Amino acid sequence: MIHKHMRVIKLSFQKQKYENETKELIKKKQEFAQQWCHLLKRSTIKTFAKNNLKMNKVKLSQIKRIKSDEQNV
Amino acid sequence: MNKTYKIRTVLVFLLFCSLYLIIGINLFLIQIMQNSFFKNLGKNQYNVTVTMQPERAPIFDRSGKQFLAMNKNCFSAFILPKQIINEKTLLSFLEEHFPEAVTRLENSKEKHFMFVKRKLTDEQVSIIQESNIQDIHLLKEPNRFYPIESTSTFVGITNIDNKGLSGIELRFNGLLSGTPTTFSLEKDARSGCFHFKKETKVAGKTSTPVILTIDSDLQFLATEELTEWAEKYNAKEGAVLIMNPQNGDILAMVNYPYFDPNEKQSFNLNNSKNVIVTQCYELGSVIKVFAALAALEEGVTRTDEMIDCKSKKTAYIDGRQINTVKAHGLLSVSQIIEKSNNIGIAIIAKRIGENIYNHYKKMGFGEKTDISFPGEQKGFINPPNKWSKQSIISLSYGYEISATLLQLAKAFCLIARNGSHIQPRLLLSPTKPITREKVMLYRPESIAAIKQILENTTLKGTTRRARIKGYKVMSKTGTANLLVNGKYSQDDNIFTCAGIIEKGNYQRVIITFLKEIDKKGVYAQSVAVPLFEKIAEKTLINDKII
Repeated sequence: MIHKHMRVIKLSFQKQKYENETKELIKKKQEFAQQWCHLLKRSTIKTFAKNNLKMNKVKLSQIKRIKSDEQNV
Repeated sequence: MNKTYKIRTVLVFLLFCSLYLIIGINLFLIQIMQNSFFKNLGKNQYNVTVTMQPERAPIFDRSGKQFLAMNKNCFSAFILPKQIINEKTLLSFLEEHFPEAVTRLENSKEKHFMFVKRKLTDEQVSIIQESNIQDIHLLKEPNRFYPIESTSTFVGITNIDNKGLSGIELRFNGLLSGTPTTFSLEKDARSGCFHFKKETKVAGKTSTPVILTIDSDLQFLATEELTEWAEKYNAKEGAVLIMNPQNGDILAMVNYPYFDPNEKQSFNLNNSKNVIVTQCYELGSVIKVFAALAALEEGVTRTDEMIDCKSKKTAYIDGRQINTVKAHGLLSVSQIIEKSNNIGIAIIAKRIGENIYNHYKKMGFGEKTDISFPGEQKGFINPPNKWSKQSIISLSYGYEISATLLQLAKAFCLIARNGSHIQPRLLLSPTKPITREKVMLYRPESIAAIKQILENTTLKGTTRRARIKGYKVMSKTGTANLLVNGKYSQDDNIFTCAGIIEKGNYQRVIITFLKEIDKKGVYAQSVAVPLFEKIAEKTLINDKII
């Protein structure tokens, strides 16, 4: 009986330990998500594309859809 | 000797007896008299009640991946006024970096706790950390972070306690914040980190994320274009609205100016307005489309009927003066809309009579669209019982009727959907069930005719600059004078361009709007139309409709 009770307590403690770990991981995930959002900031990407890659705004007339048969050629 | 021994024995006996008596009295006091007090004391050492507030849920765009609002922990600085170790150093530091905290500290010297400043910037945190002042402590607090600034006018912001203050944050505050849960814990005596028993005393609700219909890429593209144009013309206000008429989804909703929600100091009444939903305007000529639709539906005219527009810029109908931009003679109904002739549309509207009011109502003007946004305006249509002789004329070209840009977009959706109504929506999840029965409000012939008129307006009328090769563009402009001190001002205008772009099954309704620009004597066709064309192009590229 005592053994059973001790085991329940042990498992309960283990569960709580994992719960705390989950909380920490969620916090880390949030921090990474924030960093990800900063990296994905469109204005930053645009500035990078403009300055570093010398990219310009695209006009609709400059875009052409390549048909599958043209692609094969 | 024997006698002394006896006395000593009695004395020791009495001493022990008194000791036992003291112990007994103490036990009596502890166990019986103060039983409940000590029982509670013991309980309090083992049992703790903890209230846990769930984390505020994020707000996503339509992809469900891009955050529009998310949690970001920030630091707040506090001091314990009753336990200050080095007052001199503390005061000199506060005077230098947080001067307003010094006066507060003087008034709170008897208090146990005082915030120096909440939600510190990264710079302020590093200043505090580098100073190594023992009396200033840092506390982690939840805060909100908004990755796309231009959504601030509808996503809104939270206050210092993370409660919704405006926009979606306010409207769905209950859903986003959830409700706290109270637990009763039986603690582990040694570590305090673990518990033996956990009982839920008050069950709370977990927070629910909100998913909006906004396409964050399109929102960014539209913001860029609108900002460029608004700055070019030094406009006081501007707006772009992009909707999918097939399901009523609002894909982009950009207001100019907007504030940076991560810099709450930039918030003021001017840059926090959602012009699209909470502002009503007399939109001017863009309303002619709906007057013409009403006339076609009522059967009082045909698209090819020729109407005498008096060949004048100023004409009189029933003794009332009407001004139009350019003098035209005989024009067909289609040409009246294409060239935006006020005299022609007034003549047509006279034939509709009081019914024009019912038509405008049917199209959704004067009624809230019910998109679950705080502060939505319903607009106004002058009712027939309050009409003057001028009213029917004014109503035909967009005066005596004020509407939000969202209502205008909704009315254009009606045309795009061939006469059936659609409820605009900003919220993708959680949604309230919408009955999507297709009720045809207008005959297909009337809709087909008005679509043709709008296409002609783009091909050869006032919105020629909105043409996009390979796509069907149906659009109409409106330049309206603003009411200033009870009089319509010729110099303060609003410029609107509303339209539909179509290719196969693909359809989008776009509204562009600019208010009070620096340049005088210009019309929407040179201000709002080029912006419309830019936005339409960007939308097509973004949606890969090539």
